[in-house]
Amino acid sequence: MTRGQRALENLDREINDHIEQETLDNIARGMPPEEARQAALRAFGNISLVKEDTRAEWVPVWLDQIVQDIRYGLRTMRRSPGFTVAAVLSISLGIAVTAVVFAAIKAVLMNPLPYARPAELVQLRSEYPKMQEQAHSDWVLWNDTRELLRRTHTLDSLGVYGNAVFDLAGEANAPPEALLGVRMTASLFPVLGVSPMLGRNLLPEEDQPGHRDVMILSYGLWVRRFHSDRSVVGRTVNFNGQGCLVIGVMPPDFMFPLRTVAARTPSPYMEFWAAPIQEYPNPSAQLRAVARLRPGVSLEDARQDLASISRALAHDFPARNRDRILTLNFLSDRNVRSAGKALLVLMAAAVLFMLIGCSNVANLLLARGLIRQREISIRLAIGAGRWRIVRQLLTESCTLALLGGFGGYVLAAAAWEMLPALVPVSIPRLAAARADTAIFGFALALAITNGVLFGIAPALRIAGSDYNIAWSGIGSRGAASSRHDRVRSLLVAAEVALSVMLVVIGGQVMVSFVRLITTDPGFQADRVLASVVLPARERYRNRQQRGLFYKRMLDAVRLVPGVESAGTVDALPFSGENHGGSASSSDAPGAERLEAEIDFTGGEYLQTMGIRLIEGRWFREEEMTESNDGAIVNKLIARRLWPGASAIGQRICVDCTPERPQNWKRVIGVVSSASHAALGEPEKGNVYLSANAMQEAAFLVVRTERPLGEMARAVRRMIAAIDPNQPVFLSVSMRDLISDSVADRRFITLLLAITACLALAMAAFGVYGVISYTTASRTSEFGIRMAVGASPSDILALVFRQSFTTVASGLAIGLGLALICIRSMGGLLAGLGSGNSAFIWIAAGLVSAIAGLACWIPARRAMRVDPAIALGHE
Amino acid sequence: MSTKDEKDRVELLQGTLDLLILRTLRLGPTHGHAIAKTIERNSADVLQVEQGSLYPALHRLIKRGWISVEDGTSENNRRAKYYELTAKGRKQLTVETAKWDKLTRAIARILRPAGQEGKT
Repeated sequence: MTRGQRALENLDREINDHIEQETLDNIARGMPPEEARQAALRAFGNISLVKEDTRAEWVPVWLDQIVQDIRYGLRTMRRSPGFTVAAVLSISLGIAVTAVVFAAIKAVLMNPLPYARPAELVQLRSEYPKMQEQAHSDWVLWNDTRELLRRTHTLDSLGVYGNAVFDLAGEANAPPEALLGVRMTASLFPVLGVSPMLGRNLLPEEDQPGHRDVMILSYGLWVRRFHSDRSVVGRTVNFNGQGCLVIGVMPPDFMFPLRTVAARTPSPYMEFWAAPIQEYPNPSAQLRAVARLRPGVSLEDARQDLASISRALAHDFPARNRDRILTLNFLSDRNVRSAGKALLVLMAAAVLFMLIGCSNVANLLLARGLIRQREISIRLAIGAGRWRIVRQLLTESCTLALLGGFGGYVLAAAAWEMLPALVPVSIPRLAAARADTAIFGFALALAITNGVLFGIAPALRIAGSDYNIAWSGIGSRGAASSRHDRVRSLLVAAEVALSVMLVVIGGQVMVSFVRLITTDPGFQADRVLASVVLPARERYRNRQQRGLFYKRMLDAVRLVPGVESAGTVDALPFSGENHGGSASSSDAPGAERLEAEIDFTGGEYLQTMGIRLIEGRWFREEEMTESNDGAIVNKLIARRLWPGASAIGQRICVDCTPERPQNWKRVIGVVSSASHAALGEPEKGNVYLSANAMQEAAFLVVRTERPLGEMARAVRRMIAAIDPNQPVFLSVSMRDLISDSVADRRFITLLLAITACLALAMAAFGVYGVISYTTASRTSEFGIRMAVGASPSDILALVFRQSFTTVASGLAIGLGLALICIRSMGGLLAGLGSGNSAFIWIAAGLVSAIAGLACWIPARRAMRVDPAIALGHE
Repeated sequence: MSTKDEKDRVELLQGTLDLLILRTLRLGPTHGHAIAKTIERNSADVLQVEQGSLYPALHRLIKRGWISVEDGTSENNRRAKYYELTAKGRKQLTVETAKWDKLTRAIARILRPAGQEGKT
């Protein structure tokens, strides 16, 4: 029973007691019982009215008044539907854009890691202080992790993992599938603080070398391949041609590592977590490790701890730990990267857009305030307090804003339904963004803020205006109106300034994005299909078998009709796979070692990719043998290692490490440079080797005239003919891979561009509305001017000059602010800082033209005023 | 309220019921019916108060913090709500009484200006 119900019941009882008591008194005075009761009821009065009045006392007066005001506000809105629709739409759009960005921020920044106590989680990494740039160094060796656990006093626990591919044998209705997942130590999930939805975590003995394979399934895999069958836990399933015990299923929202690549790139998502890690026996295998800091330990403490351990390890294990230090980053830093800053810039843009909407609505309210001035004056005259009037007007604008907030939420929810499908995005956790109750609350809170923002100035002005002026018939054209005009001009200038800022910044980002995607990657991506084929270690037990399989596959694919050329590589550009190493022309200890991408290429890989030969020759088919020492280098390596001389025939030491100091190759060709990790990246060294290409291969590329989808099916058929159990992990066009590599920037750019376009449109309508309104209210003035001799073009010039002065001041301010933003925030958003002054002027010109048009149309209308009619109008 | 003839009754001025309730409660905590009876008795049945209108007034006074309410037992052993004057209410009663006196004196002066009796 609620408090209200209980209070009502108490009141009922009290009234009944009262009447009974009165009845008894009446009986005592000698009345017959029936009459006594009637008399008591009569004396009491109308019982339900009494109850109603009493209940009314319980509700606070202010609440009652607010309800009244809201009701009144809704009634006024219904009376002027045009105004209501325009205002609600303005607010809805502003709130929708802000809420869309907020949902992204909430998912990506406020809750970046879906694990327990995420602020304590760190990713371990290896750094070589003597080399300048190391892009991919989130790795450690197995021995490092054992020694760390033994020596650390800052890390609580540590989990080790590495990527793995499992082949799932085909079934009646399901083709064989290659699944990407993780092999890990039993400690990993406890470090993250997660456990399966069904079944259990790994037991410590299950990650020991030699233990049979055990795995935990992802929810998606469980649903897709095991039809959500709970009994799969505890069953042995055929993976990689051998048995693997399923011990659990993770919940649907679990993901580790977090996905940081776009949809079509290889490794779309992790589908299992298995043990043991196979690389145990290999002491130089690069593994990943996540650790949890001890409570109260800062990142800096832990880094110092690891640095001193690194020094000890360099002494104890010089072969692998000399020159290398272990350090760590927050796991969340690694995941959020630059996306966070870009989202904050987007948020700022969204707020600016919302402010344009606010000033639009404020203008509408001001205009309407004039119409309502008489109503307000009557209220003031009969004794309403000014504060009461302000409150009523604010309640009305908040009601309006709340409607807008609701609309904004609906729009934002719809946007989040559509956005992920429109643009593949690799920003981690963005997939978790949706319009939930928090976003709803955010939208409503924004709405109230909006309501006060755009409501307060008009409310104060209307309630504060002198009602005598309003009473006299010229109220709307007299002194009050000039004050309104000043506020209105201010709002117009602000609107124009904000929209110029957004358009210039949005345009800048868009132009630099277009320039990025039209950058030449250094190879011909069109008509190239890449397939990821990873022969399972379990089925192709040694490198020879693996090499033979790849060679058969390459030869078979070359025969597929429509294939112009085909080749293989171990690390395809834009696949996320990088095999960084070094190249030098001398093995002397102090010799310069260039950082270089080292790729093993088989078949006509370089020709298929459309990389240009500058000097020398291509690899020959027979050079894919173990002993071959041929190397093709890109022109950066040739230029840097042998300046002024031909590279052909030179000796090059590839990946010469202390353990393997004599890996000498001979340069047979020089090729153009191609981007490997990202479009527009600075030119980097690249060395292509042919020896062992088949054993190392992981990607199969073909160049074809046929449609790529058709070709992908043909390639799959050909591979199935060689080994029906060999799944193709993925077939994708190089074009798509490149496009996915800029997915984040495309997403941010798209949102910013949409915001800028909406801002431009909204500001244009705002300016148009205000100028039309003020011009229309000056009709009689124009009539007089014309009557005393002004020509229509004088009127046009007058109106246009007056209104465009306001617009121009907004333009100037906005342009200045935009330039300041571009200068100072260049680092926050990719593409923002790139100098592109020509475009800034184009954008400013566009806004000027549209704003000018918004002034011109009303001015034209003013010009056509007929003096006779205009004067008769008064 | 039932013993006088209708024509002798006077309708209560707005706001004065609160004053009467406060005054009644100065004698000590009591329940709703007893308040009504006391007001009737003390006004010699002249004031016409619908007994029911007592309740909205009581709740209004509670909300203003001038009276408080507690469960108790009535004279014939029934559970009843007892209303009691608070310190704030006591102060308010003094203020209201003073105001009332001023008002009645002012009205009396207007209706019967000194030395002009009989002229109107």
